[in-house]
Amino acid sequence: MWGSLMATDAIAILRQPNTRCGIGARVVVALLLAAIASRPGSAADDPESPFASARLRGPVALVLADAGKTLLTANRRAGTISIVDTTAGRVVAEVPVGKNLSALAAVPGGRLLLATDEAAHELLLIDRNENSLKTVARWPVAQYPVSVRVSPDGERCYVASLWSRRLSIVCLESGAENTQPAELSLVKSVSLPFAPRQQLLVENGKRLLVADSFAGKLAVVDTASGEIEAIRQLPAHNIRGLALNPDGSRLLVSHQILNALARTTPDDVHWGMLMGNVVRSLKLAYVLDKEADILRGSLAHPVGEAGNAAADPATIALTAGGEIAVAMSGVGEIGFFPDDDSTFRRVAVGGRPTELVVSADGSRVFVADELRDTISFVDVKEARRTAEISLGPQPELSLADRGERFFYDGHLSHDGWMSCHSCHTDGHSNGLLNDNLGDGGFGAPKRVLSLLGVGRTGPWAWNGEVAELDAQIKKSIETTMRGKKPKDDQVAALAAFLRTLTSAPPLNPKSESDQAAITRGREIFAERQCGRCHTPPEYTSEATYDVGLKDQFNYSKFNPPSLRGVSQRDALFHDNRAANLEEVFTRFTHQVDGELPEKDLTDLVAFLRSL
Amino acid sequence: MTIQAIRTGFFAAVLLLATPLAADPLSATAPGAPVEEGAGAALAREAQIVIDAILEHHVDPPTRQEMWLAGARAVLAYAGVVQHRGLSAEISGLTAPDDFVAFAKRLCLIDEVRLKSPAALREAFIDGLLEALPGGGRLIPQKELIVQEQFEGNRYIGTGIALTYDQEKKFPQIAQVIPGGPMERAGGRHGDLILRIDDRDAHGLNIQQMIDLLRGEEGSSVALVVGEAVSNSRTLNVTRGPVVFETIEGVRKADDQSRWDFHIDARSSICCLKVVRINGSAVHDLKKIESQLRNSGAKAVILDLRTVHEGELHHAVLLADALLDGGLIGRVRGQAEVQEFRADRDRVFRDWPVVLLVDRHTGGAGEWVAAAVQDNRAGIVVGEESAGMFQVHSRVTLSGMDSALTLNTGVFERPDKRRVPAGYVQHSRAGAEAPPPGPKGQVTPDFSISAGERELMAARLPMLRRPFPPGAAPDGSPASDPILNLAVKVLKARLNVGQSDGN
Repeated sequence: MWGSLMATDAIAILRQPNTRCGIGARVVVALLLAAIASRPGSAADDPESPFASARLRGPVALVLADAGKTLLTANRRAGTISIVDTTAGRVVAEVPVGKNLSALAAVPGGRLLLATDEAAHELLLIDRNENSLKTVARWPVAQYPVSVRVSPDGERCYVASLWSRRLSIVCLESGAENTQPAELSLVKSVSLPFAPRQQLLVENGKRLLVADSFAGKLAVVDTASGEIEAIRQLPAHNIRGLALNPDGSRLLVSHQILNALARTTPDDVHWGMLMGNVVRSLKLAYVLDKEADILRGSLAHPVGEAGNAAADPATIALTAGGEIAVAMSGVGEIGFFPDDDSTFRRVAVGGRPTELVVSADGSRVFVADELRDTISFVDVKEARRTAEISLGPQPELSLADRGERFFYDGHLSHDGWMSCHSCHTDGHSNGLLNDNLGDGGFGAPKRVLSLLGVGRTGPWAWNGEVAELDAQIKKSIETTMRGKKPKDDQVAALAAFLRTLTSAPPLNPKSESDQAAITRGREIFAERQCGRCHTPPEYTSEATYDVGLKDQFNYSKFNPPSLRGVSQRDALFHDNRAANLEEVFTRFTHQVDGELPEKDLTDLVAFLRSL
Repeated sequence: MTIQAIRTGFFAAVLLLATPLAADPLSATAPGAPVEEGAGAALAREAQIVIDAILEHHVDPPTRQEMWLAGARAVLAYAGVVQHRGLSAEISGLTAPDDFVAFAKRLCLIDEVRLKSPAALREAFIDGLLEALPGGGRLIPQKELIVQEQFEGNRYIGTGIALTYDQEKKFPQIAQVIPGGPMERAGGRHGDLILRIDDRDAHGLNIQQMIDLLRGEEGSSVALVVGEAVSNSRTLNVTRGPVVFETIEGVRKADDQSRWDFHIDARSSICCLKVVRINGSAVHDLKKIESQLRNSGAKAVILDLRTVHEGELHHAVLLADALLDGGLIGRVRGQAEVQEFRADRDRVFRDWPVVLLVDRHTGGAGEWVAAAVQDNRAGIVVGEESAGMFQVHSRVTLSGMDSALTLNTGVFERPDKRRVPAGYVQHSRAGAEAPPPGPKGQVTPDFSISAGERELMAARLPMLRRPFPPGAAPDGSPASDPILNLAVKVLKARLNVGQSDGN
């Protein structure tokens, strides 16, 4: 019934710099807007209603509208936006707008919404008229957009793109009363030294903080110039929440801490030595000042405790009473605590709550459950869930879908300290070192391997001693996460999910790279016989090799990791000793017989970055 | 004094809670041992297992022949053989494994030796071998190992009592109920006699028998009839569970007795934390206390490491990591490898002046922590020169013997001060270099007490299980804890400087 939804015809028009967002010369894309079919949503009991159809939705972003009377959810799996009447506590519409929505934001002062489509690599401009949504513009942005923020004046938006490691600063040109066809123009595309996800505007929109999706970097961007003022480093990974305290003097960051000195023993897991889940409170002034120690005056508020941990803290918001509300996505709860940690109140909401917003009057929190497709209403004062709204029926889950639930479930670990996602962030890697039994003993921590493409890159573990993926999953749950012995169907589901994960896309896709350099690099790869160990098409092999790299116990035979997506790894080798691909060959002369001329090195690296 | 000797002594009281002493660690037939294995062959087999482990893991192992000689001499001494000519030369000539087996058989055929039990001979051999081992060594039966690991992780599973024995009434008696433990929850009290345990009369049972009956899996239950006498008793159903021991104590108990008060006095923003033991929960506990202190107006902290020498390297490394803002914690040089430990930037007591108290009894784990903090300039060390115990002992599992061996596997090397990363220097005396370490690497305090005060400290060591603030000493004397007083003085000066700096 939504077959009439058509792709927007976009016509690129070169235009002079506009005066509204004006930064230098740039290419401006004006979008001829197609009237896109839209219609109001129907009642949930209408069998013809799209939100009565069984499908996976995956709400990942929330926006409150109409003074809190309406809640909009961007649904990752369905590519839809659901409209929830918060007074009536029901879904009133669901509108398809894209493939895989990853973020949603409201443009201040009007009806316009912005959404990002991670699969289509687009920024969507959507006009909302009560329960109908009209996509008025689709605009290509840097690949894999995952978050969008709008400036307080509504004139700009900022789109963070994960795998392309870019921040797109986009000027919003909307017509009168925000109802006319709009124009979007790229102000600047900023290259980031990490894969970004979360963003937060601070200092009334003068600066933008962009957080690392996997590890602990934080970029400070001057929004006027689009320049990166500083790259800050936190002892953190899996940053999933950014917020300001009530007076704006402190930055709150939800994240995890993986201690490379801790071991995956029952004791270290139990006492929170291995994995910490915190909301870190930083003095904003020190975050923004690149000369200052970012941690000066900082505090780490624990989320969860020994015996009752809380894996994967996610979105943070402040309640009307000044409490910090945090989604504890790995254990299906949200938590409330004051700045002095004197109390910690927990509310079970189930599933994987990743996103929350506080109601306009501050009395309620709306929580999106990404895996169960529900919205929970939580009373702040009573710390109690008062309602759970289904966004629509789910179909029978596939084995892989069940596996996805287990992947993000902290209950698989001892006391809920971590999920698979805690280290293998969204299937990739936090890039940190972990001292587990993957190499048979403790004392030689090794880099957490990416699971993207893992179904095709066996055997597993750095020493390549695990021949079956199922066995590796069991081993990880029992000896790393220290959880109970998993059931066979859990392991099968997890394996099925992992097999759906494809390799990380190259940072420099072939279409955007120097083809000649890549071609030449491929030839060098062949000439140097790199493929003996890194054998195409996955650029790995089943054996272990001694390439002169020893761990702390002088073990030197490792299974070569796949080179697919190698450009998305910030450090290389088993202990992160190489800071980049160039160092692999220059500093560590990895399998370089004789001299590697600089041009050859450049081309070889270009080839590797295209994989 | 070796670390191992201290470790054993330190744990004596705790082990009383649950651990049977291993009178005959080798008496059990090892898995896989031939049923008809002779005394010599059995001795040779176990000796080889232990000696192979030592050769593989000891930081500086003796030769195989030297160890056989030490063991053989111990066997002969145990059997009362006063003189055995040519023993050293005989063992020096042994090379192949079969040579040693043949020697062991000959040894066990000596008339006096034959009179002894094979198990006792094996025990004598290994005891003698380990006594001669540089840094010492200890064989730990599997049963004891489990308990030891539970203590180290601070996750002991039991009923949560310390036992004594009422000699007059001939019943085991509860000497202590561990706060928060299963027995406290069940209603057991200090002084209760244990009259029955499950369906067994406890009259006449010795402590070791009681311990064996009290221990069990987590979640299992035991029914105890306790009281002053059979006529005045009550039944407690105790579910065995984790018994957690405090790792850090304060200056005094708070008014409600439920938690420690860490402030030196009611008006002071300086707090003192006495480290009781460094184990698996020490960092966790420190973080919890930090939160409490921040809400109580604390601005500076004293971490009292005096008399602390017990603890695993791993737990010392984690504690040092928690106190450092990055930097090198230290290295452990083993027989063939060097392990390096680097702290991350996540730390407790950020921005606070931190003082560590050390004394001549601060050694091992406590000393490594103090050294790491001092070398990274992350705190000021006050007190006396530490003990200088940098030998690292580890446990090695002995396959085929159902035991583990504790031995000296490495040497802890302090961080190289010249490599301290810029930006991590804090709280040090302005412009002052850290004092050089002692000849054995001892931690030399940044601020030392006087010679006279050291004498006073030596005389009052038994009282220093807990720091006491000025005017509150157990004997009522002023300046009774000169190290603590000096630390307070240093911190007050530091806080005053900080205020004038506007920090």
